[in-house]
Amino acid sequence: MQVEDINIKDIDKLLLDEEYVSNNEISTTLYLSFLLGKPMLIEGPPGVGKTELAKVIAKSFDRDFFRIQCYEGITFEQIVGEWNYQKQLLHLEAAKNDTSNVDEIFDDDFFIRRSLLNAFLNQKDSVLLIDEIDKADEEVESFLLQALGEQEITINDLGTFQLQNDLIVILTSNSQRSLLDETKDRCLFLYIPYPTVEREIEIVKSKLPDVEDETVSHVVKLVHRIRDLNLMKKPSVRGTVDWVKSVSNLGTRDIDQSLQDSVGVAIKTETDKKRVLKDIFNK
Amino acid sequence: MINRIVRLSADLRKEGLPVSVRSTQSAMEIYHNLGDADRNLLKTALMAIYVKDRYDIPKFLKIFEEVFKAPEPEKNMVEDPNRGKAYRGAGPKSNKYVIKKQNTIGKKVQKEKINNEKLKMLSGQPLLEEAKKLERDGELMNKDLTKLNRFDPRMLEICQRLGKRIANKRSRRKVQAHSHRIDMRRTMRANLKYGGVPIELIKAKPRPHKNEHLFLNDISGSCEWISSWFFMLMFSAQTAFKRSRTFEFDNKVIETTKALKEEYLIDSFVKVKDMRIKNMMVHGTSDMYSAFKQFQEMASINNKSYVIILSDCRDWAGPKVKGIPASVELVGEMVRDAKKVVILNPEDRNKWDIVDSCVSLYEEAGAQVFEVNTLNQLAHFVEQM
Repeated sequence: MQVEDINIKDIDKLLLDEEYVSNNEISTTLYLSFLLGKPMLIEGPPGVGKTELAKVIAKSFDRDFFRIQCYEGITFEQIVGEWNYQKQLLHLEAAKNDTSNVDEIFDDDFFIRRSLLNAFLNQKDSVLLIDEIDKADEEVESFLLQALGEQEITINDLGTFQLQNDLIVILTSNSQRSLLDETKDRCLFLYIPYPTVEREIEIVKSKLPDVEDETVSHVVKLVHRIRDLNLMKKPSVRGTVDWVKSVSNLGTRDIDQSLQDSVGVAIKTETDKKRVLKDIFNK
Repeated sequence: MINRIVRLSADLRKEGLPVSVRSTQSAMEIYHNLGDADRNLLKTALMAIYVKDRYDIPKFLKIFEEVFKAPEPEKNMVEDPNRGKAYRGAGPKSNKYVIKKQNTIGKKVQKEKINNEKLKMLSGQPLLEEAKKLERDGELMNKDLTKLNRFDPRMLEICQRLGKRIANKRSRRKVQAHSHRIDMRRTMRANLKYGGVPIELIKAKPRPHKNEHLFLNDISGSCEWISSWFFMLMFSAQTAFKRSRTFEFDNKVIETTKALKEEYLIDSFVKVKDMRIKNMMVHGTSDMYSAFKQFQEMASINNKSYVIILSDCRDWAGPKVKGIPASVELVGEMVRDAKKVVILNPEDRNKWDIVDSCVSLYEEAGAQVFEVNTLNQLAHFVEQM
């Protein structure tokens, strides 16, 4: 749907329709993002639903979805686009004796568009997810400042492109490095922590409606106890959902045994596993 | 209205939050749209604008409460006892906050039936518990490690996280350093077969850097704590320091490199403790002359070595020549042989050069001395190394 006359409760409702259990901070920040036209910077531990939120926003508001997955060494060309070097060369070879159309090699046809430019020039309203921005280099982040703040992109030889639609930009970060102050200043900040027991139960129920309430509640409470241990890697919400799924498949008659058998679904390192077996299951 | 927002911005700046004019402007816009009838909504909204780091959330909440003091409650709200904990919340209570956009065509809202109770629950999930944790993390990272009197497991967790972050940053820098540039000479030669048209690009191969880091940690009584934290940080960041060796000293030296190679931190730590006990290095006094002499023999320092010494530079038991500790000369020798000698001093700068501290003497000998007494300072140094 288009963003017209929308309020925070509508946002809650629309997100819940797509099985995303929101909360006050999430819905308000999204509302502000619509209101101010600012990007959202979402931080939080892995597996709490940062990326999922972006996908769900696209679905809920019936928008096109574009994604840039950042990683070490990602370049400007991989985000915005690049010149089709081979095509340019072939064109030059073909037009060897005709110097009049040499300038054509810098036309739009010779440029391969990537996600950022596609999202900017898309005619339909869109959502752009820049995932794990902290993994990208600072140069890439600096380049994105223009897109985030002024809603335009400048490409050498091609010119400046203005934003063509009502674009919602969502950046996620796992705090592997601290982002530039300039980036943070242009964004609305949202920190998604691990959910409370009640909210996590709702999340799991929305993902697995067929599982018994008792099983869900048992596993979620256990996960919360595990998160309080000093583990290397705390179990994520994704982990909780998977664990509940595994337990319900293994059988809930002897739930503790099923939990022990499938502990690897939520606990990801050997030391953590030993610790959980010892402290939680008394093994 | 403007006075309150400006005061909030100013107070947040005083607390060290980076508040720009842009943020104040956005906050004004929000305040104009939302008003202050629903304080919790305003708080959440302004938090999204002003807070740029999760560790700043507790500071923001505190200052917001000061600037936007809650009015006296007129009457007590009665909670429905049938509703669970999850359904209580402090979210928006009215529907009046509406975005008005011109010239956009609305489509039908999806009209599936929604559980109303769920929605009420969703509108309010306090962040307070998490805020308390964040406040503690933020404090711990800037706490003077030398003044810690107990082992805080949360600190260990933060330490490991910092270590991983350092390893990540260093590996990224390595990728950058090794990013291949175009080798013009080879590119031209390779493209001769295409009649000089540069179709194939040949990239230069990275030059190998064989620098070696030698860490020498003081584990005499005064520095034992920070050495332990440094060790943990190094353990977490070890993937980034493949060519490195670690040593510990009080009046003798032991090499602990092998202990770092253990799979788990706790095993590694136990192993180091064991080595210390076997060598009778528990609460010892530092004799830097003997220690440095032994270190030079064990480490075979060369022009590719970076020597990083973690010490308070208090040579308690070392010999002196004309009132000057003999270890100063050895530091000079290390500076001569190594690429760089860095000393990390966990003491406050105002205690340097007092009584038996020989910071200036080591500096004169060519070593660089830095003050490092919080986990953040320590991590910052290792990152920059």
